[in-house]
Amino acid sequence: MKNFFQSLTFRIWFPFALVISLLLFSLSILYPNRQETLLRKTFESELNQLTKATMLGVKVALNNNDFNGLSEIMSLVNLKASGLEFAAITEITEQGIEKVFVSVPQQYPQDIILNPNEELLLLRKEKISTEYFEGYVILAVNNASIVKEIFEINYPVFIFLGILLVLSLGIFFALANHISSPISYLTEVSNELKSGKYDSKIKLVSNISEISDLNYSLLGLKEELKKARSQNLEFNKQLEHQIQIRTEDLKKTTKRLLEAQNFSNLGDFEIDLNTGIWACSPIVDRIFNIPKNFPRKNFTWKYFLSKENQEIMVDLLDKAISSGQIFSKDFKIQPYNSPATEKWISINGTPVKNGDFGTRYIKGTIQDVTERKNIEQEVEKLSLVAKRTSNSVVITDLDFKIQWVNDAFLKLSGYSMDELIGNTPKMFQFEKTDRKVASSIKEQVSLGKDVTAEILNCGKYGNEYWLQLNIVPLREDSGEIRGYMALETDITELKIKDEKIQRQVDLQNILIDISFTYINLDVKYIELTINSSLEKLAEFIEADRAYIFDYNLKDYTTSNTYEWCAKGVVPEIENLQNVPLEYIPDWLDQHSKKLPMVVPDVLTLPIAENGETNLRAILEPQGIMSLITIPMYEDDTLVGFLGFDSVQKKRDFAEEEVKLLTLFGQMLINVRQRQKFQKRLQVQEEKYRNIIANMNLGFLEVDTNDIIQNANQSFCKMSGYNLKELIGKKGIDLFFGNDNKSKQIILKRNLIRANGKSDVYEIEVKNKFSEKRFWLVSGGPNYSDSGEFIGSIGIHLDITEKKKLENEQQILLNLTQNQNERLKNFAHIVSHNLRSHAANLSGMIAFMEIQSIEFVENLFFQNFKNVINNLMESIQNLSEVAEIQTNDKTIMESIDLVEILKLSLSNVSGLVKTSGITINFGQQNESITVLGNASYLESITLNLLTNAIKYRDPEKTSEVEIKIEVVDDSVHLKVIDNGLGIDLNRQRRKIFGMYKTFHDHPDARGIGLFITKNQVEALRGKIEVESEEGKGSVFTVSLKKFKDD
Amino acid sequence: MKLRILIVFILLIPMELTSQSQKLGDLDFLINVSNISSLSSKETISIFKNGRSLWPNDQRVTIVLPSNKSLFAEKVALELYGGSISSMQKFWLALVFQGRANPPVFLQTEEEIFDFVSKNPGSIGVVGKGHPKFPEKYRLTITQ
Repeated sequence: MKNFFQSLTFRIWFPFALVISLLLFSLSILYPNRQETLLRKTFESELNQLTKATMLGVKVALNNNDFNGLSEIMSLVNLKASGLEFAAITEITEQGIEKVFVSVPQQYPQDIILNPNEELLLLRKEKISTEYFEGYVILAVNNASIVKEIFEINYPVFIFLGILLVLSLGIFFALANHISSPISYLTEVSNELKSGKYDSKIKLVSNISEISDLNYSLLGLKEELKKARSQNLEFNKQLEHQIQIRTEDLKKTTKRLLEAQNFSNLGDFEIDLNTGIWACSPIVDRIFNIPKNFPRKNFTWKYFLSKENQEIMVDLLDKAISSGQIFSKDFKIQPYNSPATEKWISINGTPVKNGDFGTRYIKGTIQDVTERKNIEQEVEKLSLVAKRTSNSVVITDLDFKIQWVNDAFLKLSGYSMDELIGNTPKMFQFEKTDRKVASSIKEQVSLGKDVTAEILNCGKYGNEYWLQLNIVPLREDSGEIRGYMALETDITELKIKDEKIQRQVDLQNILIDISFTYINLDVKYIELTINSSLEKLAEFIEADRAYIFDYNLKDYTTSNTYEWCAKGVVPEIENLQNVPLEYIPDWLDQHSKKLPMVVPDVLTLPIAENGETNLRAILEPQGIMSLITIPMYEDDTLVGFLGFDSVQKKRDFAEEEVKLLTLFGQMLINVRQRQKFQKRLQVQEEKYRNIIANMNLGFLEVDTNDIIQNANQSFCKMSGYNLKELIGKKGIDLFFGNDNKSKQIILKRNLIRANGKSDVYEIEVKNKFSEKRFWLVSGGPNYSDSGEFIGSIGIHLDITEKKKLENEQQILLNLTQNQNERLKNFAHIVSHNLRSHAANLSGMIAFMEIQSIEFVENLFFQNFKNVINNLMESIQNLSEVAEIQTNDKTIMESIDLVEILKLSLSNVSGLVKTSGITINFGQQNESITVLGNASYLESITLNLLTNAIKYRDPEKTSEVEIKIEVVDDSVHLKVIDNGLGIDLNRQRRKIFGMYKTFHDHPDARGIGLFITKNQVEALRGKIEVESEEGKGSVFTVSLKKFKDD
Repeated sequence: MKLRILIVFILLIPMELTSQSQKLGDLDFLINVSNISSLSSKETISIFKNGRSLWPNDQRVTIVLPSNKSLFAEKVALELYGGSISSMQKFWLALVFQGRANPPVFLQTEEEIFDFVSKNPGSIGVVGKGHPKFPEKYRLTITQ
């Protein structure tokens, strides 16, 4: 767009376009204005004429009765076509008032007609004056419609002007373009020539002389340029060749430089001191971890330096600026955003001056020297280590001539540095040095290998020492060996310790060997084995005599029990029996503390004074030079000691050796204990063997296949077989014959045993003589010492006699049960069959009394009736008792005892009234539940209450009290009366018996309390009585309390 | 009071109608429309008051009235238009001005009226009663 406005076409076209546009715009304003004025005048004139014509039409119509003219005029006054707002005739009344007579449109508002707004309307008014009519003709045109009309007339003019504008602008544009296009073309060609496109064709584009001249000039210029270009190309080729050669050189140099920089971690930097702008090579970026987009101005390099580093840098720059001298410094930095990794850098810089204006730039290099620094530090450390290490360090040349040794080596060897320089390590070897090892070291080292070896050397003062050597060749960077370094560790002490350890290991092995011989050793060989063990140990520790002493603290003596002596050493065992302990008080004291008595050199012991006997006095005559004795304890009791004497030479004992010898002593104690235990075991085994053999219970041992392994005498007696006949036979074959059922029981039992279970069972067997016997067997599994199931052991008891008794008891029990059943049947007969006969008799008597009055009056008959009634009552009572006793399973349920008592009290209420007795029952509102049967409880309570009423004392005010007490799980019902009472001293045993009466009361039958007792017992309760004649009775019924569970 | 006025007005309406129908009796009407020789007085008055523009045969209705200088014009104005000659003129002035009616033909004498009606089919005219030259052929009989 910008190009268009700057184009030549636009610049030619625009002034014309502007002039034309202004012209047409002015025309579009001026012409319609003039037109409007003219049209408005025409409108007004036409309206005048029309108004006058209308007025004349009206006049003619009214004066001449000719309405045709008016009709024609009014056809002209078409509102829509003529643009009239309204047409009206007004009439002036006789009173002089103007009124609208008629209007077109008919409903046009009268007030507008009479008072029109002349701004909105163009109005014309003509007066009518006839014989019959006085008024006006009024015609009005709306100004807006006039404007609209004018516009409608003018708008084609606007369209025309618009089209004219567009056409003229287009035409002018085409003209301008026509003029400018050759110039543009030539300009384009000129630009192409400028850009070196000399091969493009140049057309003749215009006949206009100026443009044509320009065209020809360009053609000439093109040819000239072509020539120049060919010359230039030649020159450029030569130049390019030169540049290429130099560029290649430069690239190589740059590459080498970069490689060198990379290799040496060296980069350059430049700081403009005036502007703060700085630059650096990528290596510096890498060293400082500077991000790529880090702004490099205003000394921003400070931001990736720590405060400390900043101070160093500022100080360096200040000094360089002020002194104008080169600076150089190594210091540690923390790279940007990575403070944890420290680096060492070496910075070199030089101030660059610009004439007399002072220092303008600082240029320099920065190198990452972390690796070098680390190596330096490492070397420094190693040097320090080499100097100060406790290990010896020796450096030799290729001929093994010593060049340097450290202080530790000087100290170890005893030589000075001067004495050592130039000598070879061979100077330390002596007769004990292993020559093979020495030559092997030399050989390996000569091959350039790392060597590790141990060697015995000798120092300046004859001191022997073991060294562990680590020899490495020292190489140049090229790999060439320039010498050797040996790191020597003094392992003399280690060697001694190793020897000691080895000795202890050997001792341990001997002890293990010895202890192994004691395992499963027959007791009878123990004595011999102990002597042999003493010999082994004594030889190992290079002792000449080994011995065991037993303490007898009762007699305060000690005796030699075992002794071994080396060849040439005289045994002392016989002389050393019952030695008084007073001679060796220190010895005993030491052993009492569970400590060994060690005498490395007898001659160091104190000499006995004035002919007294002390330890030295005992040992020295025996030729003993050193000794050790170890106490032996049995269950914390000091029982003796183990000792080793060295006669031929002195001997010192290491702590570990003492421990191992103590272990041996303890082992001996264990062996001797085992000897004792085994003897005791043998005695006990014999004892138990005798018990089993002689006990009345039969003992039998079978294997997993039920084959008899062992049996005691009693079992042989029970079974009838002797031991030989039993062993190796199957039990089930011997004792069960063809009784497969019993065999199955035994086989099942064997299976149970295999599962480790014991049990007791009875079984019927047949002995050797085919007699049937019953045995009670208690069987259990039998295990081997390793816990493996190996069979069963059974203890057998012959219960044949007991079984016989049990069978007799069962027969008697069956007989008793049979009799009981018969009794029950008898009771049933009595209670049911006899009752029906008695009832028949009673019925017949009643019938006879109804039939004839004579029977009523007959005394004999009445006695007979009484007998029958008594019989009925007796049968009734008997049947009740029988029912209680036969009914074993009385239904027991939860019963509220208070409710039962209330019911019974209600039943006896009539009797209470007639007898005048008072019954007190204060717990009527409580709820006390018992386990029982409702009908029984009703019967029990009713019987107790009727008894209390029946046997009242007529000479007293009779009172009965009812109490219920709950004690634990029991409920006690007490019926207390102040009646006649019973002499319990005489009647206690009979009181609850059948047909037992204790008073002469006419209603006493002696059956009530019998039934009550039976009913109480049927409810698993009990009834008790306390009574005193003349005072009263207390009947207590104890029942079980009901529980929900 | 209002009630009385209303009663009097109601009583006067039939009287007025009777008098108007009787007044038409002072006029003779003539018509030149085929098949029409009689009309009711109500229809006649309606036609003369521009109540109809076409006859049943689609002929245009042309009303012929006496001009204001005619001797019977006053009678016609009174009986047909219920007023004076000027009110009749105003009646037609209003209609013509508004373009709602074709203007009637005003003629001065009976003969002119007879002549016009006889020569112009569709025309209807009115004259005073009992003109001796009344063309019976074109007589319009007014029924009640």
